Amino acid sequence: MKAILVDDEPLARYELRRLLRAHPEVEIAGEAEDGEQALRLLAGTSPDLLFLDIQMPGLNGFDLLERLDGAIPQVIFTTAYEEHALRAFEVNALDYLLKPIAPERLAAALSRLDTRRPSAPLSQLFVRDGDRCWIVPLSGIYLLESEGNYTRLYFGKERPLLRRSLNALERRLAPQAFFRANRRQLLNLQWIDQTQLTPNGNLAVTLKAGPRVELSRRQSELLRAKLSP
Amino acid sequence: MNRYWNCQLAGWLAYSAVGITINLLNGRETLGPLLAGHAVLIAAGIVLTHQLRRAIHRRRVPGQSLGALWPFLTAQAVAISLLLTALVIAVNRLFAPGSWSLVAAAGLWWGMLLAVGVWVVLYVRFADQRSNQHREAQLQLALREAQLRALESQLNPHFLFNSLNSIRALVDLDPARAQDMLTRLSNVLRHRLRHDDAHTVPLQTELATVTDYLALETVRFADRLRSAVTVDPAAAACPIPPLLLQTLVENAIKHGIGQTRGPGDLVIQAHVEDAVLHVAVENTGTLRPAPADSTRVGLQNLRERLHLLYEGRAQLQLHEHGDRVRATVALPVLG
Repeated sequence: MKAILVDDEPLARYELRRLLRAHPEVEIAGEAEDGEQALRLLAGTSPDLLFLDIQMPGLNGFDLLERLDGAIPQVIFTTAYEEHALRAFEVNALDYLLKPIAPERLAAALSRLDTRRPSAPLSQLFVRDGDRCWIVPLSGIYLLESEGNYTRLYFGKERPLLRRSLNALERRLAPQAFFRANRRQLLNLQWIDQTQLTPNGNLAVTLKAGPRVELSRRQSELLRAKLSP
Repeated sequence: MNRYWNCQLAGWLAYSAVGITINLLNGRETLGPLLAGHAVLIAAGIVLTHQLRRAIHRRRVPGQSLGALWPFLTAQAVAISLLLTALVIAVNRLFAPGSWSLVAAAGLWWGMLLAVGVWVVLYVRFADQRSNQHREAQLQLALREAQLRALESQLNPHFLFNSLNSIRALVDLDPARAQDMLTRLSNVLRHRLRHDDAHTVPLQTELATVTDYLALETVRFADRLRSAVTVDPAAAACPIPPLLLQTLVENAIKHGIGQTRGPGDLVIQAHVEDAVLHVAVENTGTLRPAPADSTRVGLQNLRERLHLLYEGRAQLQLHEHGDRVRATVALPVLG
């Protein structure tokens, strides 16, 4: 398993390297001392696992995840004190290790990792809205709705607002899974429950989670073509 | 508050009682008009002096004795006693028409002036005493708060656990340095845990702890932290509020060095000029709006303590020039 260590303190990286010697299955593909370096490193190595410090100059750990646009590997936070910040994770909580890291805690965190999971890009999204954060598998997001320059995400019972435009997100999301219903909404095809015809001849879609989405004329045609065998 | 009203009532009643007794003993007046006149006097006395009290509080300068308002107080005492005199004469004339001789009126006024004068002197004394107690209590409170914050910020987060983590790495890499760092960490923690109600410590005492603190941060940040200390011998002996330098240096690390990619400088300077101690902490960085998780309590608390201790004669300023932020404190050298 390829891993990257991100921490602004050289000795902290040294400690982690030392502890990882006991886990030969983890191959250290590189180290970064801040968010910007980490971004470049991630683009070059596409690791399976990221050991991530939270407080760093420039881009901090959360900023880094936000920049990754969904292509995030499995993440283990390493932190001296920000437990409280990490408790903000509500869905798919990530593991975190408190520095100085106890070897047993590291072993436990590694054993919990999904080793079978292929390193598939774009399979999960880091979402932050105010103080709350989520790591959401894309398959769980059933609707994205444009609100000005921001986008509201629908998954589970959550409706966080993402500081990215719907157009930017659409470009990143796998086109075979998501479909643009109209100017404001992007829906997950896997979540379609029923399709109906509206009085004006367009399609309306009811999602398994409840919401009903009306398609524009052009997109109705497209969806018909897509759904017909 | 209740004590104030009790004193008001008791004072004016006592004053009237004396006046009534003297008049009755001299057999000059009948009881009815006499009591009526004094009832009016008591009511007017309380109302007018209460107005004076409100005027005093509008004019008072925080931290300054009310005695400084003496020209205003004298003028007010004269005016109020004249008003009271006129009022008493007017009430008297309702019962016994006739003109008052100037001597009699002057005698009455003299008595009134004495009463209002005593009122003012007593009030100023009590109010000053109260504000001193209040100030002392506030000072203690702010100091405690600073100690608590310092305790919290040093014992809990980043610094302590990151230092321990660095030291654990050093145990492997450089055992002698690890030992030295443990000693320094102990010093910093001991300084923190010391329960001391002193309002000031010598700058050099605090500097010793700050040096240990910087050594620990240098281990963490390695070549990202370059520090330099220039303190004049005269400045080293000057008293400063405890944790003043520590707070400034911690801020410089947290908001400056910690947020800067690549190497950054931290410079501590202190010198005495014209009986003023100048302490400056300069760091690489920018004055950015406080991040969401920062409550800026450190600096705010420091400002408050300086205000309470030096009553406006101390200054704390933050400047930004180029890629540097400079915090400066100017304190009068006491004694």
